[in-house]
Formats: sequence, C-alpha cells, structure tokens
Amino acid sequence: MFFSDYIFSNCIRLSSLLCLAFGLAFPSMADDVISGKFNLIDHHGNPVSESSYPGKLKLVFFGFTNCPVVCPTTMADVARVERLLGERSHQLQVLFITIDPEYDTVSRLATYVAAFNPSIVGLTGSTQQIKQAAKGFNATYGRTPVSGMTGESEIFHSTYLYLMDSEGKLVDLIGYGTRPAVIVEKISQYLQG
Amino acid sequence: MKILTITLLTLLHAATLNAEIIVSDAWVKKTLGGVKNTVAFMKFTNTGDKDVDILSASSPIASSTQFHLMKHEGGMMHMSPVKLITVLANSHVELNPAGLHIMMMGLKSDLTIGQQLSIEFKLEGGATLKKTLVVRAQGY
Repeated sequence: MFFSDYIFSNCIRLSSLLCLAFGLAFPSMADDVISGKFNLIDHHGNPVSESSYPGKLKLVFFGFTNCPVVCPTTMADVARVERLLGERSHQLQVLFITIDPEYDTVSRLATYVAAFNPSIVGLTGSTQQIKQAAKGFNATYGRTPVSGMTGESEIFHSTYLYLMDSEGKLVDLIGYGTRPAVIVEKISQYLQG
Repeated sequence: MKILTITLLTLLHAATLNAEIIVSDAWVKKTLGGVKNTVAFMKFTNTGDKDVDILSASSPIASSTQFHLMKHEGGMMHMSPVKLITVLANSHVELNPAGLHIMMMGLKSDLTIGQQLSIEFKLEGGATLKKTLVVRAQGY
C-alpha cells in the first residue's frame, strides 16, 4: 500500500495562513496548531526529534521520493537556497519528511536527498510516526480512489515549506513555487551574521 | 477480398489519424536520487477536423506509463491518473509540469541528459504514433 491506509489530515487553519500571508503576529492558538513535534528516523538510521537540531532554523517539507514534480522542484529550490545562503546555511537544517514510509526506506531517502544537497536530512518512520509528524505540522496527505479507474488513486499532500525558528516555533509558511531568492530573504530575518 | 478491403480501410483510417496528430516539444526529465520514475512533456496538435483520443502510451524503458493530471491549489498537490487525452479538432493539448503529463514508472535504467528514448501512443481506431523523447534537466 502506498501511503497510509486512509485519508489523514487536517487543513492548516485559515487564521494562521492569513496571519502569515499578511505578516501579522500569530494568534496564540497557532502554537498549539503547529507544534512542529516529531519522532522519526533520519536517513542515517538514527532516531531524531524536533530537538535534534539545537540552535538551528528548520525548513520542513512533506513529500515522497516518487513524487514527479512538486517534491523534486521544492528540493531543488531549497538546495539553491542553501547555496545562496553560503556559510550562513549552517544555521539552517532542511528536513524532508516522507509521506510514503513504506517505500521511502532509510537507504532510498539517503540517495534521494544527497542528489540535491548532502546537508538535507531525509526522515522516515512507521506509518504511525509519519501521521504524528504530519499532525505536528497540521500537514495533509493521503490518497483517494479515482472514479471509474479500478485500483487507481489520487494522491495528495501539502506543499508548504514550514520555517521553524531555533526555538521550534513556526515563523513562516512558504508556498510552493516561491523563488529561492525570496525564501532566502524570509530566512535571513532569523539568521545571525 | 472482403477481409482485404476491411484491412486496407483500417490501415487507411490509422494512417489518417496519424497524420492528424502532431507531437512537438517532446522531452522527458532526467532521473536523480535513485528514483525509478520520471515524467514526460509534449504538445499534441490535432490538425484534423475530428477529435482524437489518445488512449495510452508505452515505452520500452518503463514498466508502466500513464497519463496523469497534477493540480496545485491552496497549498495542496493533487495527482491522479486519467484514462485518456482527447485532442479536440483543430486544437492542441500541452503536457506540462503544472498539469497533464506522462508518468513513466519502473524505469529500467537512469536517464541522463541528452539520452533519447522512444515512446508509442495508441490512438482511437487502432492507430499508433511513435515519438522520440530527449532527456533534459529538470528545468522547472
């Protein structure tokens, strides 16, 4: 089975999106909505959590290695962001969390992220761990049957980049297709130097 | 004689259909990161005065090839297979990264820039259409 066995998800609350879109302060409930918590396995096979990258900003994306367009495009963009940041990129940790843990094994993720930038960390885990991680970011993913095509499914997933500050709080939601230079501007507000 | 006539008519029909569909700007994305699938893009132009259904595609380099539709809206990507592509008479359909594309799965080898591979389409009425795809960098 590809993905989890049922549609999992929740939409990111509109209020949070509007606040981010207009540069407003988050309402306090946003901290509860997007906790950024996870317990997963990195592409080296080590257990990791949201606390595993102390002092770093985190740029988090949910995708899957067989994704043909959105995921590789986003990973290519974040790799470009890291190059543009230069030395400052050491203050940033990009995390690619798979939504297809049954296929995206540790070794597959290792090969995948290395193709974009060796500093990107791929994360996988059990189906339940992935669900919990998605819940922590209010990310959405799943599959639904396609009408009239037996055995075929529509696949869907959130495409945001979640920018978390060094304290683990969400500070920006970056939409798919945002130019790397713009992402750099957004990130730079939270970098030192 | 009757069978020969039917066969000739079928072949003529197939040839006519072939002549109506022109494939241009055809390319396929290079593979990376050990991924065993890729996507192909192109433009189908129907120069005839009848709508044409493109029923399927196949390539010796992929174990499975499907038409897919990608939609992105509201921070969500949706991707699903579609049964066929209809090219309306005197019109065209563009396959691109933001919409319809050809998903090639189970690749038998990695694809490198400049490599060429063949793809064959089955059209309504039994006609087939062959095209060579050139491998390019992601480019989007």
